[in-house]
Amino acid sequence: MPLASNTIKGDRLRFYIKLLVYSTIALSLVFLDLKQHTFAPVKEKLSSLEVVVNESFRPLKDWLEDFSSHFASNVELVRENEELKNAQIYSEVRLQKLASIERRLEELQSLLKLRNQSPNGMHAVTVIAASNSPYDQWLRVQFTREAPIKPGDYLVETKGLVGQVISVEDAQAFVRLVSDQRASVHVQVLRTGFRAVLFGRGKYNSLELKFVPEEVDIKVDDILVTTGMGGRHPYGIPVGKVISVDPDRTSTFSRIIVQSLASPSSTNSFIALTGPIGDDLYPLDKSK
Amino acid sequence: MAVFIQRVSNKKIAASIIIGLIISCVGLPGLSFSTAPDVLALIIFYWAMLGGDNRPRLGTVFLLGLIVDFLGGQIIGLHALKYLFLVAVAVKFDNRFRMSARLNRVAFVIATFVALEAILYGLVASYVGAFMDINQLVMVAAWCITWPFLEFIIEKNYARVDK
Repeated sequence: MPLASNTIKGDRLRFYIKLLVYSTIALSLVFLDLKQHTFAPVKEKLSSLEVVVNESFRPLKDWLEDFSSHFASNVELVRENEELKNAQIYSEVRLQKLASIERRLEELQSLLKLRNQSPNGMHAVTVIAASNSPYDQWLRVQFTREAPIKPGDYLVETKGLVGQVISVEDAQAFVRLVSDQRASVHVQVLRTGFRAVLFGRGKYNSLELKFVPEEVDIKVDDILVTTGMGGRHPYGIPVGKVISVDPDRTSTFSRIIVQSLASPSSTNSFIALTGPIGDDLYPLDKSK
Repeated sequence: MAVFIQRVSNKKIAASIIIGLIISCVGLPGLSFSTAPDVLALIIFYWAMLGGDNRPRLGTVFLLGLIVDFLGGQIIGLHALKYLFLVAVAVKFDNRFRMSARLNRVAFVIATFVALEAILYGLVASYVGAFMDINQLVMVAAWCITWPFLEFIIEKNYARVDK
């Protein structure tokens, strides 16, 4: 123990002596430099060397500066881009919302115009549910309790016939769309006046005019309207437009596919025809 | 908690000191000499505190200080004196420093560097009839906050990364 202790003490003493010596030299150098300017010539010569050294490191420093500024500007750009993207998404959402409101407003305006033609025979209904099944085409609509909506009434929108009320419960009605497989409408070709029965095909907006002999004059783009026969609905409600006429090789009838004019999937409000309505509900142009 | 360096290679010490010397002499991009950190001082202090038996010798740090002074065109002997004092402080407090928490270590580094800067440059400033620049002290303290980062860089085992 005493030996080790003496060694440590000796090391410490040596260290402090060295520190004292070096510190003295350093202080002397500081004094000489400040008071006598002894190192001024050396410094001047070295300053040129320093310039050379700095110049040799200049490309590295420049590169570092460029890199840092490039990185900083990139970060700035990314942040700005992110902010702009968020703003754009927000604007797009607002724009779509506005467009939707505008469409809804137009739809309601046109429905109101339609309803004004016969306020007593027509009542507004609103969709509360729709079929999710591809095999069933139906809607559940709600109406005011005062509205005398009953099974058998037809549902229309500004473009044409939508479907028929099948059952009524409280202030709700179950409506079968014209495109349902079980639906059928007595229609007339607007151009020629030919009458036939239009059946739903169980597909969205797709109908078929059945049992039409091949020799009957029916062309693509012909408009089909309700006949008004039977007194359940007026004459002239547009139902569909012929999109294809093909001869059926297995029979003497043509295979006529019709596209429904109404688009119940994108509309929320309809009009139920509940009473006697004139035949001039829809302005028809027979030349079309 | 405690940081005991098991094996310190002389190559690593030499490499870090050379890098520190270059940075201290050439400076960092975008920073003037008055605001740039004295990286070499931090590295010397690190190895003096945590290098154990391999800590830089007094003669070496004296020489390094002179090189910095000459190449930086500063008062000759000032950096040498600063580095000598740093090693002296390290020798006195190294065990306690190694055992202390990281935050305490940072506080100790800041206190040491600011005190040294105030003493040395304050004396010189008063000698030449100028005022001590307080901003310089603030900058010194600010750069000392990077001490944990310096520890992280130097402690990292780069040999393992290479394999």
